[in-house]
Amino acid sequence: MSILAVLSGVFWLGLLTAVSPCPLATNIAAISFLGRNVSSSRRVLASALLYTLGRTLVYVVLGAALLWGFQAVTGGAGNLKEFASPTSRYLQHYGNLALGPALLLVGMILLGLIELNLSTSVSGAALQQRVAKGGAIWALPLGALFALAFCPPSIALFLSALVISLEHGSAVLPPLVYGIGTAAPVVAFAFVIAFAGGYVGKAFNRLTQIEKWIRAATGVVFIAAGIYYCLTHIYGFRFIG
Amino acid sequence: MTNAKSIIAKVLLAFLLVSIGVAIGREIAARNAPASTGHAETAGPSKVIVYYMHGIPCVTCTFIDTTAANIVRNDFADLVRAGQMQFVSLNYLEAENAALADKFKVGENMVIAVRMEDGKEVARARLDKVMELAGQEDGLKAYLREGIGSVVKGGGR
Repeated sequence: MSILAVLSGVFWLGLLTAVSPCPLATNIAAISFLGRNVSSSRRVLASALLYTLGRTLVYVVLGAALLWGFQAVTGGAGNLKEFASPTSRYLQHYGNLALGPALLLVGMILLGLIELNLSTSVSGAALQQRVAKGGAIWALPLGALFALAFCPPSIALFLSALVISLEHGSAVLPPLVYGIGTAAPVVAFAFVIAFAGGYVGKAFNRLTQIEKWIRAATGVVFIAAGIYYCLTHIYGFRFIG
Repeated sequence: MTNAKSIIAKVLLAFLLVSIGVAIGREIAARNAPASTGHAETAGPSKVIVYYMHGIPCVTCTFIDTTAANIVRNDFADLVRAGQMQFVSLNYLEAENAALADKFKVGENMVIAVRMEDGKEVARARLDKVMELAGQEDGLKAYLREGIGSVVKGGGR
């Protein structure tokens, strides 16, 4: 099989991960975060690239570590998925446990709620300004955080991508392409929202106001997603299944 | 307006702190809980146990759960009626199932069929492609039937 066909297959696994219902809440949060700078297509592009980089970095580093550990411990013999099972369980458990509070905290910073009450804290107004006013760099840790919050489809498909890595002797390329695949639909939707918002804003001469609303909506989405993840993974409520 | 914002901020902050506290408390409780020996050890003289090991709930996971349970109930009805086959659905992220997850080396959703004889495991099938096949119902069913059937016949994989 040609390398192009292999990478297309891995990209497809990434797309399947992104469109599965499980990470829907984080995807909605990511779309609103990336698309919130309606007045600057450059910032949206930078955010999208950094979000993709954040996700991809997690998959590449994690994939390389698991493959290295597998080779070192088993000499390449045995089942990679079995070898990775303790790490996989650890990531699913703690990644999802941390996700709710993290989303809630970012949402509060985006809406300036932390600044109001903790004006002397380390976050304060400056951090809120930087996050809310569209510092594209924040998309990088966000992408990494969302990638680490594995849910059942994403861990299964990521491990399948790693098996492909092992079979083809390439530790970096398959996880990299998989990461790009997981980010692609989110980035596409973010661009649609950003440009639609920008178009409406320009048409009605209300660009600043629309941007303000979208940023506020981003904060609300983060808080809603944070509450959802806290209720699901910390308090054990089941909304699906 | 500022007052309302301040109240919302306080409520959210309280929820955040309580959630972190509950998460830490549950972790400590889970670590101190006695480990389960697993369901396999409770098996009778000759029995096939079909485990569906899943993580956090999701739509795809529930679909696989239902599909596997139906296959056990319908395709192996005679064995189920005779008490020689059992379907068990477990969350491998829960502390009480950690021993079983370690034993079967589970890190993603999968079906594991185990044949027990006189309390000892004699055959096992690890069906770990269920998530990849979840989009093709017929393929998933054929995969599960073949895998569970191999253990019933005494083989496994």
